[in-house]
Amino acid sequence: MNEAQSRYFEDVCEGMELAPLTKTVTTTQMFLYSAITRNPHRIHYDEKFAHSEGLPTVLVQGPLQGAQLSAYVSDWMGAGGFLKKFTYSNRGMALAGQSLTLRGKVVKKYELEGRPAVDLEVWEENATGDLLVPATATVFLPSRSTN
Amino acid sequence: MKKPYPVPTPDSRPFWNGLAEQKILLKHCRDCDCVFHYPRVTCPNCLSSDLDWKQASGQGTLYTYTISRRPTHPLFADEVPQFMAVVELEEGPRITSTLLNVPEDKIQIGMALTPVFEHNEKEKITLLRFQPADTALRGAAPSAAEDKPASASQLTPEVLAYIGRVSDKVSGYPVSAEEIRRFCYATDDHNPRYLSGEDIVAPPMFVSIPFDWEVPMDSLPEDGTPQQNDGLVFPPLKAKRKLFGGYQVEYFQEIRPGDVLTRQRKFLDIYERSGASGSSVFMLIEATYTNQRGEKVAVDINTIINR
Repeated sequence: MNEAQSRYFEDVCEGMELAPLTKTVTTTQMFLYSAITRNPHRIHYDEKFAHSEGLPTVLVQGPLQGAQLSAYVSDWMGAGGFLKKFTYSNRGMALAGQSLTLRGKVVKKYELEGRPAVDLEVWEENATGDLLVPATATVFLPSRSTN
Repeated sequence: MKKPYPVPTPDSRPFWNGLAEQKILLKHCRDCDCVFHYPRVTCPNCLSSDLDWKQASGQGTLYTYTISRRPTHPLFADEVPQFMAVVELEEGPRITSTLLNVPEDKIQIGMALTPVFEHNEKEKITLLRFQPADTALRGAAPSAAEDKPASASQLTPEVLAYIGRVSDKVSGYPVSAEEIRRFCYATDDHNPRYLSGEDIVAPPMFVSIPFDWEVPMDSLPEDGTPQQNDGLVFPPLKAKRKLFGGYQVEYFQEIRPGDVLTRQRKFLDIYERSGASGSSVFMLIEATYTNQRGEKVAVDINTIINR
């Protein structure tokens, strides 16, 4: 997704849904993510070791799922927005090669610290619809009236 | 360190001596007839110093309460869950105490209470607690010992002592456009704000990247979990398997190439949850990030689960 343009506060309404986005995390991507985060935790690349910890296979890094959800929100808000708060919780395991779908909706439109703000609920689910990562975001959006 | 007990002062000694004789003594003003607690040398109502002591009936009602499921200090770990209560005595004054001999679901604001004088021979002190006046409401409160045997809980006083510990303040390596690009490629993020143009910013989740793992390989544990070199050591736990539990963050500034961030971490909380597959210990680590201009950039909290 490539959204360089801004989304304006006036164009957002409560209940508005974000277009779903489906991704599959490959072991290649997991390698790149472990490399950039300098994360040597073996459950993310050593299948035998993952088995020894009772995991079915190597586990997608929790913060990688968080980064995907954060990017999903940032793409939605566009260039003029600012991610103020972001919270996510890794509830279910995501495994390499599974297809993961990101979804979200606008839950609240209001003013925060004197700026137009929007609260979003976003989440990641697997192909069977199990909720893996619930998340909430608060973003500042530009207003047409101040531009 | 040993558990603290009350230290009687000249002003309060008659109160503590009274408890040892199973009496609740309250300060009484001979000028305005007011009764008050805690003991002071001046009447809070009329400022008179003409005071004596009066014995209270001991009967009271529950004014308010809260349940402390985690100790406020490691030395009180054996007392949780603690039913902290404010008890209004028949004579008027309110006393802060704890409730005993009552199951959690029987506690009700306004319930009639009667005192329990808990004598500690070793410490030579008697503590004032309360229990339901109605014997039908009494019952065993789930003591820490019954709920989860001390041997099973991983939250030993040694582990709980880690709460509040802070790391050194550490500077990360300078943020660069190249490193931002690598992060975006690894997270499959194609947002042009991070990748091209005059005013590149880092994606929000980049904030911890300049601080990630930097210790010699032989310092890594068996599972390879990343270690930081900021002096914040993890508590010793029986649960060795680590999982990432979640994250929360608040941002104050954009991060740009050339920024040098400084980070300080802190153990915000450590708690235990029991489930079907045994107990897990949750560690909450808060980090505060500032930039080279001393501006606060972000505050985040990582949850790490040990099972």
